[in-house]
Amino acid sequence: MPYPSNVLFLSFVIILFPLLSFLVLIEGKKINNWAGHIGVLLTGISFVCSLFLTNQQWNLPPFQMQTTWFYVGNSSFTIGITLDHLALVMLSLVTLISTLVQLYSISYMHGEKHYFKYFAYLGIFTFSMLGIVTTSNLLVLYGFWELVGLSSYLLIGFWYLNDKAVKASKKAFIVNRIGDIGFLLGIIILWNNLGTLEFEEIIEKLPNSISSDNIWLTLAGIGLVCGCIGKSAQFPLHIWLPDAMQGPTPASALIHAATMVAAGIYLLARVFPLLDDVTLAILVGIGSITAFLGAFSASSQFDIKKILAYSTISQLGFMVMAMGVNATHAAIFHLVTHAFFKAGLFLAVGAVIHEMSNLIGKSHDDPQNIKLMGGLYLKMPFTFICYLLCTLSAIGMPFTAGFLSKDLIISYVWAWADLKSAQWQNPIIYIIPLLAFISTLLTAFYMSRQLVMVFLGKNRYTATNPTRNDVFQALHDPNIKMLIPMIILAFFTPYMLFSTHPFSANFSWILQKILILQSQVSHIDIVFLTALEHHRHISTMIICAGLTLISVAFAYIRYAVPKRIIGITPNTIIKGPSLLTRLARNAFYLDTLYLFVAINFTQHVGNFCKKLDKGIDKSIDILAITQVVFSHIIQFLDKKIVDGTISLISFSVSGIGQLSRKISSGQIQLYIFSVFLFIILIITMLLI
Amino acid sequence: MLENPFQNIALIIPEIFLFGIFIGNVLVDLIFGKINKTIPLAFGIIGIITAIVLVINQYHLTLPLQPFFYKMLYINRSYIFIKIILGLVSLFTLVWINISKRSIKLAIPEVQGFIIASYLGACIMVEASHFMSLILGLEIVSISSYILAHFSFNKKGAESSLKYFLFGAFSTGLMIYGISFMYGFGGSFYFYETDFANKLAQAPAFFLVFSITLFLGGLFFKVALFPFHIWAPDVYEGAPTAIVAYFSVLPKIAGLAVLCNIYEVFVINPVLQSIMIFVLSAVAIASILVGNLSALWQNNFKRMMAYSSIAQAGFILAAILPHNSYSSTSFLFYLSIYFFMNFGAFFMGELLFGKQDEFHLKQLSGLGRRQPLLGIMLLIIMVSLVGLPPTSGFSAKFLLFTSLYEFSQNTNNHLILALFLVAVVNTVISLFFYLKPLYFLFLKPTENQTLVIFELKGKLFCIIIVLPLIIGFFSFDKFVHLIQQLNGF
Repeated sequence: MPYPSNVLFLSFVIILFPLLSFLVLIEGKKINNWAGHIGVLLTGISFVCSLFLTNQQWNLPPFQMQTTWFYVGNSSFTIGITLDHLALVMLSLVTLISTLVQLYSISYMHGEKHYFKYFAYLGIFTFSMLGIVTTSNLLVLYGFWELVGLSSYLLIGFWYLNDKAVKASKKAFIVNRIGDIGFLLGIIILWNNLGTLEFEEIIEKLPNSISSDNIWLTLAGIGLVCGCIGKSAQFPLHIWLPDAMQGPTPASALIHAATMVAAGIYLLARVFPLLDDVTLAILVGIGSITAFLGAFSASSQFDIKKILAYSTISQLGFMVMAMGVNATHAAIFHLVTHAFFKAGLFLAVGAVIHEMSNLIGKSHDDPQNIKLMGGLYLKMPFTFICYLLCTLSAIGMPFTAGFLSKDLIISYVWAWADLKSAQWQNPIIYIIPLLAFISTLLTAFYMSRQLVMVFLGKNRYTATNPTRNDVFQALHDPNIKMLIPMIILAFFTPYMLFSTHPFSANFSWILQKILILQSQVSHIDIVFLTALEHHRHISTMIICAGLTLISVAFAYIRYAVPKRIIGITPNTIIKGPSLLTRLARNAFYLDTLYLFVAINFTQHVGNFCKKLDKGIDKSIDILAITQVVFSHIIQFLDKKIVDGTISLISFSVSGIGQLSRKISSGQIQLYIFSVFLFIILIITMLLI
Repeated sequence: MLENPFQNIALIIPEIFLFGIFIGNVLVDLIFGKINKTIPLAFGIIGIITAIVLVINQYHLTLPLQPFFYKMLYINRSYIFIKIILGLVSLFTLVWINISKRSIKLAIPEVQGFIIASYLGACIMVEASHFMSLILGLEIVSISSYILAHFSFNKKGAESSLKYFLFGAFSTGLMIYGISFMYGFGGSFYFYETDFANKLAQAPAFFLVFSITLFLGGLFFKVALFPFHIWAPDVYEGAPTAIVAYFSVLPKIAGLAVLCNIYEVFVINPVLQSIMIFVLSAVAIASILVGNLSALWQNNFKRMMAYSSIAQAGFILAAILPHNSYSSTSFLFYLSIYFFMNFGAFFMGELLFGKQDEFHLKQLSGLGRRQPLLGIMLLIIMVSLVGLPPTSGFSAKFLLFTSLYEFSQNTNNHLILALFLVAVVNTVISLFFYLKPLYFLFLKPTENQTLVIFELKGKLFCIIIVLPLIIGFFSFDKFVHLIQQLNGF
């Protein structure tokens, strides 16, 4: 069937324009002042094209295009693009949020030292994210997967003079690597078993292989899930995400809230037919634990960004849980709604932090500490409204998009528990929907707690530092470039844009298409599951809404009533926090545990080895001397090698006279150069 | 599918044993090193001797016709022979550093360990039938050599070691790049499969030439052949003499053996054969010319020997080309004689030049008349290097030239004929620089009356080295017969 010929062209424009932005900006010191505008323009073009493409392709069958990349012996590796509904939704989402975030960053990052590099990094990130969503091949996806990891690393460590940021970026990178090892192993196993890495062909070949109860395919599925666990910050690898908040806030909004962390969910959706019951059960377990853990930890944090980070972890847990209970469409739907409200929250928080740093001035207080905030709603009304809308969506208030998607997930989880407890004769399964409900309750609590402490009541910083009162009076909404992205994102939080019915996601235009995608999966349970979900839908809705309202009310009473607020002025130490609070504040001490188990263990082994090594003191001495001599020479050579390349060019220009003057250490490049010449000579002689 | 790894364990016992003594060397040093320094050194020497005995023992095994150990390794009788020579090289080096007063700094277990390790690497390299095991062996040898080159403990040594390392890393990189292309076209890493060569030959001409040239480059580096020879003079000058002798022989022999294997595999396909003959003979011609002509102008003994060994490697490479049992005999004969000649030359060099770091030939003035035994030893070695009767060098060159001439007549290839002519002419050219030290020794008068200390240990060692250079001429036929018998030609 002939496809419209402009599809390929459009998708190239979409994918390559952000790359172009990266290439233009990475060495763009000279166009520093215009870096932001260039980034917005190029990503904006990409967004317009993807909107156009989505509109054009929405009612057509998926677009497929493959070509052979390279051969190894008889097997060939392909490269190609797939544009089905899932990819189209993700394309529009990523380009839209990327454009908005870059627009916002123009003023937010104004005056930064490496302003142009920031936009270059965002460019390479957007490019690689688009690569992930459009590729039709697991190997290529892995390449882009590592690229987003790299850009995340670069952006977390953007303020590289800050020691914390550097540590956080390293942590994120290393923890992600752990997950990616699993991912890579999964890919290798798949290649060995199926001989292809094309999603389409993998799914075609599955029925033959799955019948033999192939343990390797289970392992491959678990490997891919590992990749998801790393990138989507799932338990037990979620520890990097709270630290990743050391990066610039808009970058966090784009990467660590809306898009990159959702890549794991996207991957699961792509390879979903591959996952068997064992893997799905693992997903449900991990998802529910993560959802609960994130929500619980968020409840007692005081860092405004960390709360959102834990909230992101919790929401991603919901998505993974949905994946595990066969509700892929619900997971994708939640991914979309979450992307909007969480990005909106981050951008609003960015504005708040900006103003708070103005208020705090040069003192050493933390502008991200919500204990110091309060009473900002009058000063920043637009920010407050955006923040409020996004919060409502996040806690799943009725009439918001978040309500639609979260309800869908929870009712599916409940239905799944019904089904499984009947199958396995074991009511313990109900702990999963229970955890989901508790997480909902906690979500409503911490989100309203944050809202109350940041915007309502009286400002607590000026209460202790009255001299800053006049500065507080001058606080204001951010400028229009920062407001517009926030308003646009907040615009996506009510239900109307997603569904015609405020209480049922089944009327959603996204779901109607993505359901089709899922129906290719031949799980018999799906029919039962859908039936049960309809059955549980109303009760879920009522329980959720009830829990949310109770929780919001509780948070309001606890934090908005004035006498309680005095209790949490920054300088008062509340009598020793309870065990639960301590657990939550330290995220169940998982970091400490890892530190203790992994890092300390390694260090102990290292120390032990060091002691052993000292036994060979003589050779150590010799080595040490060698090392010093060596490093001096290496330092010397290093200078020369960097310079040497340039001298090599100047050598060829200014003639042989230079050669004699060169000092001996420069020779090695000449050696290598001459070897190249002779190799080329031999090859040409052979070919002639 | 997967064979039992223990099935052919008997075939790799020497390698396992070598690995064991490499580890054991460290342990013995740790435990006994403080009590008595001779124990670890004796351990190394006894270990190497045992390893050689184990290798010789492999002649009694029935050798598999196919690559074994997951098709990673392949062994036949000539490989065992080469392994014995490699073992002797290591043994002689260890003995050398223990008996020579001037190498006393080297008589430490670390040096010993790296020599054992590089012997192990060379064995793996020679036996490799898979690119992965080839690279593994090659890198074990290389890394050990980089470190060994540094053991002169001075600035020059460190610099030369670093140069060696940088250049080595570069050429390994090229080699692996070439291999990746060969893998792409041949679809396999098992280069011993006939399928591999035939598939590879179907690749587009440019990529074929490109990949083979790059791949051979890495081996040329190990053997110090043109154009990868440039590191040799600098490194030879900077590194300690015993070590120079060591890696002017061991990696060279191993590398040439690998080149011979590769040539044997590729030669079955006419396309590959023509490429290989072209590349190898061109490189041999260039190496002989560059080595000999550069050596003419050197006044530093070590640099001169460096260029000389480049030229000698060119000669040995020429012995590979004809590819028949006669030429194989000449190849192995030349290899073994080359070992004794080069080793002897460097050992004499160390003795004669004493502690001076500058190995300037002027220092030899008149020494030969004062200490005739030394002079005569060097005379024999140098004459053998030139290839004049009555030394084994002549026999080696004689075998080489006859087989090469016959090959050039059979194939009618002009390049081979050119190689033959260049080789003959260069034998004459090499006369000038090989006799230069002798000129200083015997004919140049001097007032300096210092004597070189020449102990009994050193004398014995010299005689052991020089003896084969004489026997190889007078009992030429027995020598050849022995080689043919051992290798089953």
